[in-house]
Amino acid sequence: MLGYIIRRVVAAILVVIISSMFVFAIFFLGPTNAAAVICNQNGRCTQERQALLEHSLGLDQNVVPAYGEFAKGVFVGRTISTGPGAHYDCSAPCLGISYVTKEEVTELLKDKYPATLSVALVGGVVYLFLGCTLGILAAKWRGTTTDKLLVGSSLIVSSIPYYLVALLAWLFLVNEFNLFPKTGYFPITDDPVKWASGLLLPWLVLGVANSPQYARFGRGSMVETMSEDFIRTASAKGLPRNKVLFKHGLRAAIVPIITIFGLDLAALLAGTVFTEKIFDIDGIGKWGLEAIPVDLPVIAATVLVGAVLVVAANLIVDILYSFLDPRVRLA
Amino acid sequence: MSASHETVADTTAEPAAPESSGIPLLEVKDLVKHFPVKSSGVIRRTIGQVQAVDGVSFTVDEGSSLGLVGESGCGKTTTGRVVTRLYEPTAGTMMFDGTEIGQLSSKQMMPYRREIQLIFQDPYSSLNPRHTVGTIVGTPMLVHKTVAKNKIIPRVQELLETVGLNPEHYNRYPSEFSGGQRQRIGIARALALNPKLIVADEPVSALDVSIQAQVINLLQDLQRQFNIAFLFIAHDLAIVRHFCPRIAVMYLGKIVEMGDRDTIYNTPHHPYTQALLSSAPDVKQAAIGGRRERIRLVGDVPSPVNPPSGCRFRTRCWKAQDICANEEPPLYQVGGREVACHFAEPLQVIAAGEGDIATQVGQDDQSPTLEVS
Amino acid sequence: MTVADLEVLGAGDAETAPPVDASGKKITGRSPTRIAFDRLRRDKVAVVSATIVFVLALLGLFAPLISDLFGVYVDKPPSRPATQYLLYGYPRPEYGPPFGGLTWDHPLGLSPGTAYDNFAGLLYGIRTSFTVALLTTLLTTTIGVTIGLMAGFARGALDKVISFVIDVFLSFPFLLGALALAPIITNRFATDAAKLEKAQFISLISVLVLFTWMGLARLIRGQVLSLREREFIQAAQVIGVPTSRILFKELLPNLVAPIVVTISLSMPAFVAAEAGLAYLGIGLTGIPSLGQTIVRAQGYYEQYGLYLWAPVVTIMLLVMALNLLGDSVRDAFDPSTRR
Repeated sequence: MLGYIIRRVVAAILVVIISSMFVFAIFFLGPTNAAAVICNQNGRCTQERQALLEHSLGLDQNVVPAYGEFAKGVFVGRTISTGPGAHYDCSAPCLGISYVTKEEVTELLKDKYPATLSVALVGGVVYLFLGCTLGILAAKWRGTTTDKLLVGSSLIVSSIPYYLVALLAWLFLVNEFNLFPKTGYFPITDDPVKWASGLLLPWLVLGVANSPQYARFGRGSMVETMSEDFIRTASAKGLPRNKVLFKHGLRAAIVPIITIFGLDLAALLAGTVFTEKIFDIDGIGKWGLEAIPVDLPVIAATVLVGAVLVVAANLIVDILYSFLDPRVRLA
Repeated sequence: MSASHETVADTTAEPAAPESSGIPLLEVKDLVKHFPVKSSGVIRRTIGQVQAVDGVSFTVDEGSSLGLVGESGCGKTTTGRVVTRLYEPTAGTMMFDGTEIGQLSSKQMMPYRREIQLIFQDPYSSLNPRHTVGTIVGTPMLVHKTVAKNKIIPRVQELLETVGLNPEHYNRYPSEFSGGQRQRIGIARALALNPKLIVADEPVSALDVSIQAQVINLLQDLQRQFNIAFLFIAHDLAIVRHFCPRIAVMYLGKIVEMGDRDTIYNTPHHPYTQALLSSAPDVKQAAIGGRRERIRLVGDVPSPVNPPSGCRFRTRCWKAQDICANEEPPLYQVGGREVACHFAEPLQVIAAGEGDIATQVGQDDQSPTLEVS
Repeated sequence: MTVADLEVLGAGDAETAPPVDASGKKITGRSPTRIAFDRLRRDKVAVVSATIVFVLALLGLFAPLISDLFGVYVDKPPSRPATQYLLYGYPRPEYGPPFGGLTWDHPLGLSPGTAYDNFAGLLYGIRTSFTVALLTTLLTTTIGVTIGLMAGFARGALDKVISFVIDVFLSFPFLLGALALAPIITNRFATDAAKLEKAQFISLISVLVLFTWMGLARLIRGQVLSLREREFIQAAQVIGVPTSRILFKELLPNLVAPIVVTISLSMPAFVAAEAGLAYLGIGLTGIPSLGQTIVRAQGYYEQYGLYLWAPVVTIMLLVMALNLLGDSVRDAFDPSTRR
């Protein structure tokens, strides 16, 4: 068991490292010269200024030393030159400083992350709850018109691309008819009501768009569990139907649902790009999107965070699963 | 039917080995097959060997049959897989028709692939569900180019007829046949290349009892018709006795007793053989209300990863002495059979019942037919 | 013996038409694939969605013909001076629904700013969607199946390496990766402005393929791992069937169900992804694409709703029909999923 966990963790770390190398390589081998873009942003750009910028950003380096520098920063911190004679001491974990805003990426990440976290966590809970409820109800009323209606409508809703739902909701519910307050992120510590009202529509849209998948999965899992012998035993010994359904059925059916939810949530936490762009929420998805194609430290940071989250979620789910379900063979 | 069979054989390039009546078709010597066991630690190193087959020697004569019996897990299936080179032997030699085939590369092995065929236990998983019967039976001929492409279908139909299926069914899928019919398809596939040796791995144990007899009789007819040698692997003692003039009993990767059918069945010398035979139900005794003394073996079969020292059967043997733990018994020649036991002798207790076991199946050695009641 | 007979034998092709006797009587089995398709034909949802997909596909396929027929063009403003149609950059109300009446000159009106015809844009947009989805599906399926087969059958070191590569790609955040990578590929191929269109197309397809082949590869690997333990594979090995033939003639036909299901569910995903990526800023600018139209139209939704609704409804309809069809295909190939 321990050997299995260690092997998996080592593999996971390797995956993350290679992912970050990949980003670095893409950027360095890419044609967009970040220095030229930044240089032109400031207006008059001369050859010398661009060369100076290239040097100060470390873009005149090779890929390998540049990556080495980056990796060193993550673990022990590093000193970054911000111009002729100017230095910035970036302590570990250092993800560099933004080429554009000159702020420390770690600080920016701390700044942006609460928004993504708010969207993903509450949105995730909304669709998990909504999906499971609908799924259990459909399973309970299996074969009736209600069941067919639920299954049919969930099929249709899940067939519509997510960003269209979000875009239409934003265009019409917020802009056209003002049914929802203007969306955006406001820190919960400042004003919880504003925080909730700004994210209300994104949560609902996430919930509506993602719950059908859970409803269908939950229903399938529930139906399968309800045909097991131990459920029949529970019914046979005279337990009330609802008690059988929730106490015995749900407990067994929920494991695969939670598994999928873990992986989904990790993907959400890695950046809700569409949600943040459409609803104008200042999270890491939008941040990463806006950093392309110039701001390497930001791109690298968002990809790294995403990869770590996804890999960690996979790891945790796999290990938990091998504990929960002894039938899973460790190989 | 048989005429065209000969024509087909003529078009094939025979392996270089000369035909000689004195040399057995297959001679297996000290065959060993070990499977590595990996640790579950951080670095998965090999921590042991499953000694599935550990020094097995036997011969199969041309057109004859050797029965390989034993409990599940004794290595008989592994032996069959090694002989057909599905598994690479760990050690030992396998002479087929005078050629050592144990170490041949897959390319060098190709001519011998034609000569050695395998019939599987499970008629459901041994036929590709996505192929028609025609494709399944025709593939060997297509791969080895033994038959011109446009002659494959007539030849398939001929083979289907030989194994007792409707030749018009060559376009059907395996799912449309019953278990017994599927096994016949498997047999037709094995026959497609006119092999000299067929390894039959529990060919009837997955079938209904009523079908078993039909398939066994079919195999026997085919053996006589085409002069095919069989390595017949089974755990059903009655069927092996019916089919094979020579029998080898395996226990934990080793042959413990080998000899002619009647010698083994009438006067088993190895304690394990005696226990095995006593465990088979005896219809005759039951019919007259009598009961045969059964030998009950105590304990489980030891792990093949860490087999007992000396005689592998000693942990469950009622005759075990110190010598059994210290000295591995070689195959002694006792009473016309080979037996690996320091205390080989006929069993006294069931001597009275032996005749009855013998009468369990048809006694006519010329043309035995299995009767099913 | 006819050629068809030989094909049945040689290729093991389950779908080849069976030979018919002179008498017209045929003894032929139904292949598992045939059974699934028969099941699909009885599924009403499948038939309806297949019809929708088919009609949209025809519209896309004959886009040049149809737009010629209506006299509308995607690459040039109407023959009459464009200003005649525009009022402060917007199409004059009288030249397009919903505020103007329907004119057969421009059934869906004109685009604001450019005064290009929206109907022609829609037709070519559908054409683009199908082209991208089909091409991407074809590539991902080929790559995914080949790599999955290799990993599953090779086992050992090769399998470990491939599985690790799959893990790396799966953990890579798709959208950000795609957005970072796309301009690089575009620049690589766009040696001059004329080739930009083609370069964008290549970069879109490569990004989609690069980040989606793993799913099928992993699925196929798992299937191969379980299938290769089946005895019919050993039977082929005993016969001496070469490995390549075992892979493609023995194993592959048994993977038809998961492959068909994956294909039918990845088509809608790719249609949606093309439009989604266009929305985020990568995609095709030279060729009309529904996603691009949505991006341009979202600013006009109040004054000129049809401009937005036409591509939105089309994408919804197409993705929904493809999804429902894919779902029915899955049910048909794996009846155990339906309860």
